[in-house]
Amino acid sequence: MESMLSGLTEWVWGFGGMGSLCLSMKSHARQIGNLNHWTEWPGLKWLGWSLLAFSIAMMVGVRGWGPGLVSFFGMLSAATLLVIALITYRPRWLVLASLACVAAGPILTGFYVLF
Amino acid sequence: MTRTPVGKGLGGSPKADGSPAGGFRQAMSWLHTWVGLTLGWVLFFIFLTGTVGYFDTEIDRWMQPELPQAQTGLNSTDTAQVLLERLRVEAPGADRWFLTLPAGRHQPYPGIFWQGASTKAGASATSGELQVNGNTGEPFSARDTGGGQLLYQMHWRLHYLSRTQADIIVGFATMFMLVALITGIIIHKKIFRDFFTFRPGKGQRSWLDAHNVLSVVALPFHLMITYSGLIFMGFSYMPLIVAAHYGVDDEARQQFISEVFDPPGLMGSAGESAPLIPLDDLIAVAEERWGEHRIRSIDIRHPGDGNARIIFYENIERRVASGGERLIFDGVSGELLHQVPPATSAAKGARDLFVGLHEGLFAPPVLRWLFFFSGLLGSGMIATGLVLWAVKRRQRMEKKHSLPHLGLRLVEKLNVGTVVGLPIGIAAYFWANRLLPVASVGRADWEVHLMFLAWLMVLIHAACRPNHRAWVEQLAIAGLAFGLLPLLNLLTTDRGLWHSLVANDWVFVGFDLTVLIVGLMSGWAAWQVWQKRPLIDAGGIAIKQGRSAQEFPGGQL
Amino acid sequence: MGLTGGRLASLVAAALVGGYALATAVGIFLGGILPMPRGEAALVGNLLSFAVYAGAVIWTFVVRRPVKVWLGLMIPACALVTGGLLLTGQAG
Repeated sequence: MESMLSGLTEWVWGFGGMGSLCLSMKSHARQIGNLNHWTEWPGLKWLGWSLLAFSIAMMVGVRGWGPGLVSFFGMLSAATLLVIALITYRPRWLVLASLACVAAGPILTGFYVLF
Repeated sequence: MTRTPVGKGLGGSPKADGSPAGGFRQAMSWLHTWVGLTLGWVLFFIFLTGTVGYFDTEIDRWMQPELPQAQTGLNSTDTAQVLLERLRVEAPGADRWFLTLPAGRHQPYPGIFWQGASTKAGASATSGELQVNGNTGEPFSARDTGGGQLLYQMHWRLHYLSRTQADIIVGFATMFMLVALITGIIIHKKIFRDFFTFRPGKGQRSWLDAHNVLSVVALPFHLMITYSGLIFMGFSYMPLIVAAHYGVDDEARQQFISEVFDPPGLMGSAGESAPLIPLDDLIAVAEERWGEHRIRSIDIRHPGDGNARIIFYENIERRVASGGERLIFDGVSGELLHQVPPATSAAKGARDLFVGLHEGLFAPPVLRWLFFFSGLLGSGMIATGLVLWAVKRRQRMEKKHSLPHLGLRLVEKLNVGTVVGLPIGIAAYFWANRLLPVASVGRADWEVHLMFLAWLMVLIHAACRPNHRAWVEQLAIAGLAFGLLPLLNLLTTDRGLWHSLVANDWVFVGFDLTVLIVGLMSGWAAWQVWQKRPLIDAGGIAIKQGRSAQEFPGGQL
Repeated sequence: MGLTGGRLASLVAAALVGGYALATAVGIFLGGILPMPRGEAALVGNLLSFAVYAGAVIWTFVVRRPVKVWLGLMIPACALVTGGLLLTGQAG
């Protein structure tokens, strides 16, 4: 169960990061219609990179360098594919999902650290 | 990942002097297209069967439903004792006894393996292997099957071919894959700007997007799996490097292997018998060092001889690089002779790292799924590349109102017959496992024959049917073949999905649910293709010009 | 690309055979000169040879001139094999 929780936590950080990076791109911001004022914040890109950096740090911290990096790339593939699916077919959901992940990341991490 | 504008083919017209039209990028684009296409279907086979192989042990277990749930967690000392007794019965006078302890996912049951036994002394065979019930000490009896191992081994042995033939084909295919990946990166102009871009419903453009997305999203995996595949078989693919420094005969090769890979302290047989030391104390030493249940296997060289050596192998789940620590004991006195670290040199360490990454044996369940998923992305990358080749040419041909040439028709047939046909073959393998009588002679062989026969029939079907129909019908067949497997399992064994759920048998639950999802997705894809015909057939042209598939030149192929 | 007939065949052969020869040669050379036990040096040569092979294939189709490609692959290959075998053991 513990590995499930850490896996989920890392995935949430990764998805939040990838989602933010996607939305920070002008070509994709257009796809989300009237929600796009959410994405005009210039720090969005840096937020995305920071979330990814945190994700990789957590994986390496929890699993060690080797398995950590492997997990990171695997998780990133899965998260990115979902981001692409959402921005293509349900662009507005991507905004909500990314927001949810950005919020859930710290909470899940807190859980993980505490328990 | 070709990036030529729509309508301008890679073939681009040559200039009058015969020099290539276009520069570096176009040369790379040309190379990408042809290394990708030439062995593309072989690569798809390698990728898909290899991907399935990430669950080889789980498939093994599904294919032998007579076996109980995993026996991990048995006491090591007792289990080793049971296995040793079994070896004394099955393989007296052997050069090598090998005991596998039920250390985890890869080894759910205890097992033995031996070499060089004496049938005169009463051995059941000169060499052999058995899975043994750790509770009773008796060998398991289960249906004869190649299991997940065979499916997984196909990805470099190609099953019906000799090792040499398979090595040559797989070696070149893998090399082509590496070249295709490198050239693909070179010609992908907007790798970051188009990172998240997929534009559906636009014919060739959509296929290109899909190909790019599947390639880029898992690019580290694709590069890793390809290069490590080459390294894995490196001594077979590049034999002359070792031969130049050691010599060409088998003995020279063995010399190299033992210098680089064998642990120190092994000796030839002394020729005089000496009693083998009981394993109890040695196991205690190893478990003290590694932790309980972390002995993966015990390798006894020359048991009963004065020069007997006992090698303990540490379990492998804690590091990416293949291989754990090894402990080497004197088999007579029990003295600990050597503690060999996982990597004895930087070179071996590098190779172990690649091999470990390729096999993913270290991967716990979540990561194992990610490996599997990445493998599927790789298979999808190859499939979309193959389809893109055909779609691009058909679209160009439609514009010119010309008939499709033989090459295009062949590629289209092979595409559907392989991209959907191979999965149907794999499903047939599972059906055969449940439907062939358990006692029938050669049933393990026939499981595989049926897999390839089913694939052959699907290829013939593809050749006979119009292209679009072939996709729809085969996807529907795949949907049924996978989707009904849980039902088949329920009817032919007492380990149906509900039973497995109640029994917490996650291997069976996982298998049933996975094939069910694959079936549903195939069915959904069949429905989609049926509705959105132009996606597969001829890009957006049919919609624009308001024509139906039947009016295509060649639409009735 | 205007690659057809004999020219294409020659280039494909150069990429597959010449590239293989060069890759093997680099492996043998590294196996000979690297300052480590010969088994490890041969292993390093083996690990890197595939990158050389891929590079040779790509280079072949960048240049696209059969004579130049064949010479460009085979001369270094011969030199590396000779050099590697002559130098074997001297560094390690």
